[in-house]
Amino acid sequence: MMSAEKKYERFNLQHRVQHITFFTSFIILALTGLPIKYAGTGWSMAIAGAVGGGDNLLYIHLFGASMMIAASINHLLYLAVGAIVGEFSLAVVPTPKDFKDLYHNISYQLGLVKEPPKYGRYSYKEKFDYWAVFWGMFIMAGSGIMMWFPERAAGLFPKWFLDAARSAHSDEAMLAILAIFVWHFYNVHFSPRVFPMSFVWLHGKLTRREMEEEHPLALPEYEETEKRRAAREAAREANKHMTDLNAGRY
Amino acid sequence: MNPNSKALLVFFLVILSVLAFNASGVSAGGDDTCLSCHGQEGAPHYVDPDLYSTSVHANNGCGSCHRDISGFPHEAQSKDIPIERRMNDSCASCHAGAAEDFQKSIHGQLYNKGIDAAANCVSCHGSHDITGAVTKMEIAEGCASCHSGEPMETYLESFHGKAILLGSVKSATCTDCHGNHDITGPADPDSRVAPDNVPKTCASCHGQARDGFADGATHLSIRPEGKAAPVYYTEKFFTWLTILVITALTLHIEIELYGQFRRAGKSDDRKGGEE
Repeated sequence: MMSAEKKYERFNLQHRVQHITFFTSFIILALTGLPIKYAGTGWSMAIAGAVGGGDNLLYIHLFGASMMIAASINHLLYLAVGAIVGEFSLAVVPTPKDFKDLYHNISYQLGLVKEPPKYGRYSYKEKFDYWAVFWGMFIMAGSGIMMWFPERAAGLFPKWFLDAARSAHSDEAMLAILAIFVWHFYNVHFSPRVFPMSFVWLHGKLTRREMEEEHPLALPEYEETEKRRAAREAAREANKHMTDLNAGRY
Repeated sequence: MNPNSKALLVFFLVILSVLAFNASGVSAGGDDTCLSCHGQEGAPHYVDPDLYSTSVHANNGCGSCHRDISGFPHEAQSKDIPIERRMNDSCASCHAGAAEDFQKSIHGQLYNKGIDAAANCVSCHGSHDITGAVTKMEIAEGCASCHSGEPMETYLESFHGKAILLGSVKSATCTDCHGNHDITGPADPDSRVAPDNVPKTCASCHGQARDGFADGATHLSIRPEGKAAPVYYTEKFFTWLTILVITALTLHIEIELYGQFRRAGKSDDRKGGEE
């Protein structure tokens, strides 16, 4: 029975909210950005017409941009706060093991070795996704803000630089859209392992079996986190009990 | 001004406007006479009466532009002077300011040199179907009827051009940067698009005149040299990055699918296939 199986919290509420805000804004940006990239085609005119013209299309794009930038700043603040309270983790930083894991996984998929690689909290695929977004945000937000505030930008940079930034915006967007809808969607939607969808983004939980298969090396770490959480809750209970006792509520 | 003379003034203004209304009525009658021949399909110098009735000059009367024609039947006009040239002078008799500006423009300079292909009033404004308000896209299309090719293609690739194409009413069309009746090329130091004036021209919409606006090509044709080189190499970089990354990712997906398929075929190891 699924419900009887032990579950581990892989993504906390902050992680899930960050991801949901990010993908919502990503979809808004893709739907309003592609018609600008391919302005003049029938479907782009139809989308622009549906929102009341080119000016509105751009306003919606800027709304999506604000949302995505807010999600990114929230993520950086989350990391900073994590560093202050001592919960900062470097688990997502690439290591030589990731390259070995890639080689190992391909060998395993081709049937050259018997056992799949054992991943820690983040597999090399997940680390790739994270850093692709991280680098992409600098390109997209940087070039996007230059287009958003052309007077300010032209005060700081020559036009040829702004033109190059505009190209980068359009091209990096295409790379991001392809990476998300081919690669990420395969990993979380279309792969036979998870089809039609992995629901981790919603509930944040992995079962014991999923953990053993996908992140076996992180099990002790997760056990530790769960233990700490349990201890924290027990302490809270005990505290409450003592308070009640002292207040003579029994 | 005492109240009496004020009342008198209003009285005369009313009388005048009634007379003006009548006058236009008279010339509309004149138009009917003209259109009784020229409004027939297939007639020489055919004018579509329905189209003409929508123009801003519909009540002016044919003779207000075709000044050298009177009476009926009238003589055929000499072909030595193209009709557009006759028209330019007619336009000027009402629109003196615009006509004066036109003389200064590159179009006017070429026109005055006797080049009939140079843009004149009707080449941009049309004639019998002339209307007041046109969309920014219609303005661009009008310019492109001569300046097609690179000027129009690069404009439609620009931020301004894409916005206009998608129906923006705020973005810049040709005339917003280049001006209209007094338009000149970048070689003229007084031109809006002369390099020294570009920051000021941009600032007419963009608030502050920044030198950065002028430091690059505006109608950017993507080439590996000059001011377009950074754009060219940026595009090359991202094109190859995209090709390499997406190929690698797709290959990875294929290899994993192959692995899943292979393991699913084995009875002892169905890992992945049954989840």
